[in-house]
Amino acid sequence: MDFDASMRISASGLTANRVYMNVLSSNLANVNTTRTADGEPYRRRTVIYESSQLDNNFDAAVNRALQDEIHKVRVVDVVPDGREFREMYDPSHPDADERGIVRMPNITPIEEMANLVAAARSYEANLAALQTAKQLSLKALEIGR
Amino acid sequence: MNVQKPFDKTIDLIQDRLNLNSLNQKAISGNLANLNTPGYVAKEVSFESDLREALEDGAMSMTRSDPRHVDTAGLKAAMQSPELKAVGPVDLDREMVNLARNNVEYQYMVTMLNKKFAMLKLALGEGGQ
Repeated sequence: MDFDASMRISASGLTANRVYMNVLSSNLANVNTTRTADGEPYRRRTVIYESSQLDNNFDAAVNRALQDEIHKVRVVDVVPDGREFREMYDPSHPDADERGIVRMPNITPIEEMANLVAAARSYEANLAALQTAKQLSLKALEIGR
Repeated sequence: MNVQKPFDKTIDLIQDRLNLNSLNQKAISGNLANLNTPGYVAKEVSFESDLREALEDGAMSMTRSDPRHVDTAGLKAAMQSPELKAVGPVDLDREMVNLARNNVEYQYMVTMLNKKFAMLKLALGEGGQ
């Protein structure tokens, strides 16, 4: 069934954007975190998206040629951001070095907020596609009525 | 005498069109899911322009009585074996417009099909007598 595939593709988009929003939330929550397990301040994280084929053997066998070209999306990895840590002068901070400088996470809240809005819009777009697919498959039930 | 079969070309045509709309829906879903994927190229089902031409030519009812007439066999074939063409990076607005249009078209086709069946039913009941 075609709408089934369509819905699964939209669902993959929803999942990917939700993962991204989780990562962004984590970044925002840790904007001032100076201690982590590996001894560094918190490092900003971001996601890598990849378009991949729908993993459904039946569909693939039935409609090989076209099926190959329509891809879903998935998050392949959550990777650390290589940018430099922010340096802040605060001699009273327990994590300050001998010069009184504290290394803070390489996170800009404004950047994270902008990404969050983009992710929310993208989520909504996938939701719209999902709702349309649902409407169409319900409409198909009315054939011959 | 020209005998009209009860299940004529209209039903087949609507069926093809519904299949195309559902393929189109899948292509749009794929494009929207990959909105943020680097390097992803948006896909579109390329039957639209051919079909529009066919409809404007009145291909549904046209009989080819002369070899110089427009041959609609190619257009029909295009409808039955749609192709996906790459249209560059994903454009959210374009995809949303296609989504809405595809939705309306599908509902329209189902309504047409039901009307067709209703007419057949009416004919079977001798016009309600």
